[in-house]
Amino acid sequence: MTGSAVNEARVKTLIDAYGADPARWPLEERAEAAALLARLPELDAYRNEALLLDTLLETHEVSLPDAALIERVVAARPRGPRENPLRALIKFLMPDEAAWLPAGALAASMAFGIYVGMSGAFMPAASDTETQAALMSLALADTAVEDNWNE
Amino acid sequence: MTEPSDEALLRRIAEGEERAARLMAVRYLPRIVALGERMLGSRAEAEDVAQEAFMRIWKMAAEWQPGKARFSTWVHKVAANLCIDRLRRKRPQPLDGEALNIADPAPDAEAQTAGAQQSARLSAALQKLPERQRLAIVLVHYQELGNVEAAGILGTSVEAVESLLARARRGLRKILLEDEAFESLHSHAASGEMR
Repeated sequence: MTGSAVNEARVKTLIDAYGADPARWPLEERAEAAALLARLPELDAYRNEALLLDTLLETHEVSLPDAALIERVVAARPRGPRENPLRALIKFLMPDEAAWLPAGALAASMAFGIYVGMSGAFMPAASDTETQAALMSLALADTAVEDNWNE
Repeated sequence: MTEPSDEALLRRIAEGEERAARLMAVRYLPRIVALGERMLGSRAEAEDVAQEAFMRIWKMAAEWQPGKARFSTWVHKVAANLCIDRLRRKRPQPLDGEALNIADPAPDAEAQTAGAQQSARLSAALQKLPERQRLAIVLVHYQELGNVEAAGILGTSVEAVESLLARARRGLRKILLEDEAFESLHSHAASGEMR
């Protein structure tokens, strides 16, 4: 129904099909049709009749599903591959983890690297001559040197 | 936090995540049950349809291809087809234009509130409509789908949907306005007191 100018007949068709409330009319025609309706007081009775039916339709109530039905539906799903518990925990904490998981792993790696660099935990002490000797021995694969390297 | 999309939930359901399945159930179960109850006139049958529809949703989760169709449209189509299948197995449908008289509500309805009685009478009136007219008004008025989406589910054109809707509304108006239970509403509308 796009591309055609809205006329009185079309406004009546919209009311017949969708009811009196312009909010329910197709978006592409809504503004034009509502404006035309406002300029046509002769359509008031026509619209009021539709309004009556709209109101009657609203009297039909459907209650929300109870928790038991939700549980039955969820329990009935086929079981796929068992989920990794660590991954389940990550998903629980970050439901939209897809973008965060690689970024988080990278950040953790960087933080660990910085910690190691700053602490010097894996740096040999410059004054530790025994360590230097041991390293040299290891590099030369010569156990005989170990004992008298500084001699 | 924004709600995850249907497609995101389907991916997580396919991986076996229960929380995603629960979110999907909370999102769509009320809509499927409402569609079923209005199409079938029975809460119990509506819940059966909802469970069948969800079995198909769970199976579809691993196969869903984003971009091909809207998931909500597919869900409505599945639910609508399940309802139509049940209706066709259950009873013959009235012809368009057939004289439609609303049945008295069940005896225990006398004990219900006025609102519940009206709801029951409207449900009975909906059941008197031919099934395609009923489906059109359920999809567009109650489920608030767009006319293009409804046309896709009904397998017809937008113009045909509008025709079905207009005939459904005329049929309902005839049934309801002849029903004494709605006489007062009619009087209110005539005097311009409504809305």
